[in-house]
Amino acid sequence: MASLKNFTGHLLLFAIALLLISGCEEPDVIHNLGNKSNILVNQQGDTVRFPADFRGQHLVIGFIYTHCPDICPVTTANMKQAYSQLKDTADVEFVGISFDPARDTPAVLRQYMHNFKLPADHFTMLTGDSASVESVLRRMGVEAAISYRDTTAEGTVNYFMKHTDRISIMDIRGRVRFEYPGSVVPPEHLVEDLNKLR
Amino acid sequence: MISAKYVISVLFVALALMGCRPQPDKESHSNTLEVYSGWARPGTAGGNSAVYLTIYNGSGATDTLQKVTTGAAATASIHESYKADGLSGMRAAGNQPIAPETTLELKPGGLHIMLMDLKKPLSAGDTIGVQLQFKTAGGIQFEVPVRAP
Repeated sequence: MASLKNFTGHLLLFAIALLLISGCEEPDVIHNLGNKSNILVNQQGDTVRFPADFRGQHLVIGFIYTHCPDICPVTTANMKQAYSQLKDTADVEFVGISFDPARDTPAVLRQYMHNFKLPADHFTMLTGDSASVESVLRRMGVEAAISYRDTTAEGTVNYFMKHTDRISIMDIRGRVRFEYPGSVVPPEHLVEDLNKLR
Repeated sequence: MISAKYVISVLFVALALMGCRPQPDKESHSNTLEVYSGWARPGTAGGNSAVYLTIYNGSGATDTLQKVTTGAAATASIHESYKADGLSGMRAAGNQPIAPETTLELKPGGLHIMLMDLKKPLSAGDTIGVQLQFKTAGGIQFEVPVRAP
């Protein structure tokens, strides 16, 4: 009887230790946006409180601008592949945030979604006024700036941006838990880390 | 007992098969340069797109890719993506010399042909014409498909 008591006691201690250890392995909070939202606009022109309107969902967030022909499409493609690899997407939303709100209007973002065949039931593109977009970028540790301007033969001025190459995963409470180089990360890594939070 | 005739036949077939090498997916030919595996990204009217392709210089001398034109956009030029101080960006890349018996690869994340101010939307399934201008070989015209990622 005494030995059974000892065994139970040891088992309980072991279980508590295991719980503590598994708690220590939880991914860190990198940025916490859960305490305050910014007002942005989605591809339909609707006002969106970011991230409050997505509370309860895990977000896979990519940062792009639609005039970027090379890096940003790869970031978008990685997000789309991650979406297709997920078995259950009920609690996940894929969000593209533009750091070029001057040109990336809701109509332009709608066309971008059409071009890349992004399903509207699980993808949202966000833009807004410059101040709000810059605030979101700052809070998520993303930088973007005009790098140089070019003029086409017809005289149209085009500018290009240098920017953080980023995909972030945000939990249901508006906290960024994972960050990756958006155009480089294998989509299966996004899926694997997302599933750690679900 | 295996006959000598059989062995020789097998050897002959094996040697013949060794001479068969998979050929690259060629889209355009010149006497000196081969251009292949080209594709373009979708884009909106007035926006930008990118074209990727591979150029093999089968001649005995260096040739230089100097200029690109297309009817699909107001401007086409050679650009490259880069990373500096933790930020990704893009810049004009200028002329591209290609040594003999070497390959120049324009691919995502590196060198690419930037199309600016598209004249009409590019959608997956479309085809656009692109002309490459080389210093020695002159102009090479080819068609590339538009592909969604």
